[in-house]
Amino acid sequence: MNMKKACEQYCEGIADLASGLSNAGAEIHVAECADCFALLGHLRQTIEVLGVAEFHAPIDVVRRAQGLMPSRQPILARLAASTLQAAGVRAAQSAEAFQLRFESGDLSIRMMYDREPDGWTILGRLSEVGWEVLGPLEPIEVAKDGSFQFKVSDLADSAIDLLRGETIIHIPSPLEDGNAAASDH
Amino acid sequence: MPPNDSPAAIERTLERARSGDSRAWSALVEQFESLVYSIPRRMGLSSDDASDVFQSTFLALYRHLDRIDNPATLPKWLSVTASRECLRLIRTSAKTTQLPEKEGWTLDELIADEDASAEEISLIAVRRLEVSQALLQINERCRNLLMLLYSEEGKEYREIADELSMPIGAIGPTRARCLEKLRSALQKAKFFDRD
Repeated sequence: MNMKKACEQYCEGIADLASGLSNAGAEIHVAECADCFALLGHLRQTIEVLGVAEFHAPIDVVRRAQGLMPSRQPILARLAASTLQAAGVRAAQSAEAFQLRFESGDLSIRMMYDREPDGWTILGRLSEVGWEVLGPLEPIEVAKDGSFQFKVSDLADSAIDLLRGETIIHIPSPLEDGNAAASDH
Repeated sequence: MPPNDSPAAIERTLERARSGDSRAWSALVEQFESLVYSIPRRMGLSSDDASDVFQSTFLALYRHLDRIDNPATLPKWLSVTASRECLRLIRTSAKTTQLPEKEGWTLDELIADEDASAEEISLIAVRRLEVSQALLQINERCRNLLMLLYSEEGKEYREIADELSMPIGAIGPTRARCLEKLRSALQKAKFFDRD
């Protein structure tokens, strides 16, 4: 529905009518304008539904329902190697690019972090296939060779989870758990 | 960031929950908690009864995760299940299977009536969820203004002006702009296409 220029002056009046207030000018216009008549109908529906009360379940009730599925604890991947020269979290924050290698059982995960003007591009590579990669917001596509890529605006948000069957492996961000303090390899 | 409620995102979360990922299950419960809990509360059930309906509904989902073929129907599935549970609870607590005006109805008629009621209740619940999702697409100031103006306990202009630190004279024009933003978000979500 595109509003014609002539109709724009009635926007506020139509909102009045939709809200149950009177507005003679808008009423006359709506009677003559099919678009504004439809707009008024949409606004009335919107306002009617906005008036339907919303309630939030108490937190203990939500937790009980969440507890219906037994939780699986993720395995924390072990940091095996890092190209960071200096120790400490600041090293990762100030570096332009660096690599970390994680291990968990037979699985090896190489992570390459590249600074961009608007955040970080992260390239990963898994030594095994069949893993699903869950990024900070949603799943990340994994290529056939086990490589994947994603972007974050903040390095602290770069933790990912790997899923296969019943197993979850957590790959922390370089700023977690003193990862950036790892020695150079 | 608001939860991603697209069917594709729901399908991914469902898929993970089906495989036993408890964090995906928790995310589903969190995403739809208000949809489910609001139904018994709107029907006037106590918070204890509403909690029972909530548990029963999510227990049903937990048991039937494999049966949700189309993720887009999950909000409706949840709200119909919760509505039926409410009607069952009301009937049980009244210790009767029928109200006086339904005396003489056949079992089929009673079931059909209950189905229609559950359908009607769930329709309102799903539409309210769609409006809540659309509200997340507009800016916070607009969202707050519209909720203060049109929520069940709608406030006076003076109270709203104080609460939002806005001149009373600005409420009318701002309201019109915010309503248009919300309508536009709803139109994108095809909210008005089902009339």
